[in-house]
Amino acid sequence: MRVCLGVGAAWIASPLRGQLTMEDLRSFSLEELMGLEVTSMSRKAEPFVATAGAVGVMTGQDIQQTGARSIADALRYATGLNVARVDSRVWAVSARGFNAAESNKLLVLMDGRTVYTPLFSGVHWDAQDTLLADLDRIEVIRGPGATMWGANAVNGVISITTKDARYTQGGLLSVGAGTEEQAFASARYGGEVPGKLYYRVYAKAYQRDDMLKLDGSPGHDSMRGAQGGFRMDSARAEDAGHWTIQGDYYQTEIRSEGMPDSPVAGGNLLARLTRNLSGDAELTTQVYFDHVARDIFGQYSEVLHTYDFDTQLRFSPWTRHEIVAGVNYRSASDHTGNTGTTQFAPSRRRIETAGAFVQDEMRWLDGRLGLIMGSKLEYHESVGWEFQPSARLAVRGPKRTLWAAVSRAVRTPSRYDEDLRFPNTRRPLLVGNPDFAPESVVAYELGYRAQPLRTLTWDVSFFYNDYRDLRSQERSALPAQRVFGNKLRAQSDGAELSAKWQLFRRWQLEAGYAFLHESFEMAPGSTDTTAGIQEWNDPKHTAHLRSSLQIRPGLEWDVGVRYVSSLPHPAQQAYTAVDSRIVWRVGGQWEFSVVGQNLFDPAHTEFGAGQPNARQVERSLYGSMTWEF
Amino acid sequence: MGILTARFRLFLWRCALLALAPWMLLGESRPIASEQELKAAALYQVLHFTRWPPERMGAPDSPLVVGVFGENRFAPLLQELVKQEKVSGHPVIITRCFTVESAAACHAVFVSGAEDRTTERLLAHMQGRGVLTVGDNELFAERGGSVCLTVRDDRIRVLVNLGAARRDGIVLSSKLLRLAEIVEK
Repeated sequence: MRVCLGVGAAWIASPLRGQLTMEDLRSFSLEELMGLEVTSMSRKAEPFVATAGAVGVMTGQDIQQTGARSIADALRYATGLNVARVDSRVWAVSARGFNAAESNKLLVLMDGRTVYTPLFSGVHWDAQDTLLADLDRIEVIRGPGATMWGANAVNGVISITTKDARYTQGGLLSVGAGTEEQAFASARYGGEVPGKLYYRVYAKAYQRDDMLKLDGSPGHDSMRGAQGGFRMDSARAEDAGHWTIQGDYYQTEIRSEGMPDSPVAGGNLLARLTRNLSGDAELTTQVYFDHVARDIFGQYSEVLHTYDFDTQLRFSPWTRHEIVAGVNYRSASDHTGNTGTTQFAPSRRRIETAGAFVQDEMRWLDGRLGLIMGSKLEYHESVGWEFQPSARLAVRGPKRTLWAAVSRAVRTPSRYDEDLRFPNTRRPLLVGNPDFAPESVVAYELGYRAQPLRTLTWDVSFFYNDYRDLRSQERSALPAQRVFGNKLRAQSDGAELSAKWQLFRRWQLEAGYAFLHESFEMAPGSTDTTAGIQEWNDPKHTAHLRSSLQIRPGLEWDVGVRYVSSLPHPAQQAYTAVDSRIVWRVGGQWEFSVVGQNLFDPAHTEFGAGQPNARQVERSLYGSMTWEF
Repeated sequence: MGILTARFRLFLWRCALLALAPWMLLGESRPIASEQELKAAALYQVLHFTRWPPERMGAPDSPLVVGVFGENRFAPLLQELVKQEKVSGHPVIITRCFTVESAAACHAVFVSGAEDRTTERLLAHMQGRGVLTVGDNELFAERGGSVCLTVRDDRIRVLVNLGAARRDGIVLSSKLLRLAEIVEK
């Protein structure tokens, strides 16, 4: 019996096990329940407060309360994440700095499937979607997660998990309309084959309005899309294993001024099998296929096929030790069309990676002292072997955890780093470097999490990151041409504070604050004159506060306030935005909601007004209606 | 070593401060929030170990109604927990009851908190009606409730009053009795 291995969470390191969910509670036998210590030191039912890492969890309910219509939008309320909407399709999302439109130091998983693209090691946020009501949770892990997840989990990991099909039974129909979210509709139906499996199928469609240009005229970048998918989960028999099969397909069209629409499509199919072996061991195997086809007219096009195999064994060979070990293989082949301004040479490439990791979690003194040590060894075809170790120490008291960690992580070269030619002319101004080395970080972290009151949980974390071999733009042999090098170094330090407080039964507050300081320097011999400013554009401070109030049964009022301080380059003023949602539930089947986002500001930019293609995010109002049956 | 920069030293200082401060500030801590959740989960498990008189169960897929007596926060929690769940094929439905009569219409009734006259009246009313009575007051079973879910030594404990269960027409499985403490009335 294993606790808190929710679906995607099965891939989350044991020190980062989240709080007990309803699903976990449901699955406990009475005997197991009686074995749980109410005061938290239990090994199996590790409450959130015992988590030894800088982790934030947004539950499905939290996500709904933000009023967000997309995953990236909801992430604005995750502590320590910097989210900026660059234009209608591009979102800049990062943790602990290095935010950019092509930010590349964050690993994002949906139900255990990596969604970053090896084209630039970033995420196409416009394409990451699902039925929001079916989201179980989003876990945001700040700091390196490379020991478990491998390359590219440099500054953080975002794990998005949808609910087990067992918990989305019945039908759901939802429609809505508004000023920016012009029209949207979704439908889901979940059923069961008794004793064998649970399933659900869903479909959704949306039409999103243009953003505004700096002069206030329409940006002609509206988009519309449709997505459908399914998920099947085996009915859980006591002590047997569990399997999941799921898939999605989406198609989106993005307008751009004076050009044909840009088509974006993709799909995926994933299977995961978990088996409980003798004793306390558990074996999980996952395979998936992912297809992406993007043709951003005038800029670039990409067709990407990813095959991934991952297997993981968790066992306790000795008391006090819990070992997780795994191997994985991934093949990502792409074909870049090279019709736009951004060209990649060669236009077709297959990147294979393989790796293995082992991690041991040791506990002494009744679990009061914990040490987690491990490493990933990963092979990437253009850089060879990379070693990504980490050590994490946890000291736990009743309802409090102090933890410290040191880890190393790398970002392996993307197609952009190695194969870029920009612009698409005979003599491009900026070119990739086939000898690009991996970027690396050594991160030192310290944190504390406590539950001083039944109703209040808070945590604070500090970090100091030392980066080497970051991407720089060196002079090439040709005049006026720059080539990527690894001669940028950086240090960053900062702190994050978050708290969740249930003041009254009907009133809950949630708040977060993050501070970040970064400094950059060129390694000796560098000819880069950009001072590295293209690699980052971060605010020093970000903060949010969210309130959820149940006015009376069936009537709920949520308010969120978020603040982002100024950005240096391109320059961006600090801004504060207010979002609010009112929900009215009738008879357990009907739900009506009105949402206002960015309420007190007609429009503002979020990622710098210095560029000609900068776009403003407008005030948005929408209403929606949901029928569950 | 390039890492002992001024900023890194500052980081270490912050760490040291952080390490000390909260441990001093937060000497005392109170019971954890999950107590209610654990009780809800235990109640759900107890339903699996209960046999009702056949005439109370109706069709194989008729609902199993669990009443939460009085005004408390337990009902929504339980509701969330048993959503879509079934006990021997019967879908579980959570309802709130405010009168002894409406409680008697349920298959199981959960009484939370303090011992009072209404609880006494409720327990007296249940005799022979085939209703499983569950409470979380320490003395619930001794006062004539069938199952008491309480916390002792930081663990959930199950106390069973076999006489009361028999009188109410409820059969509790031996598996439950093995885990429970039997309260002699």
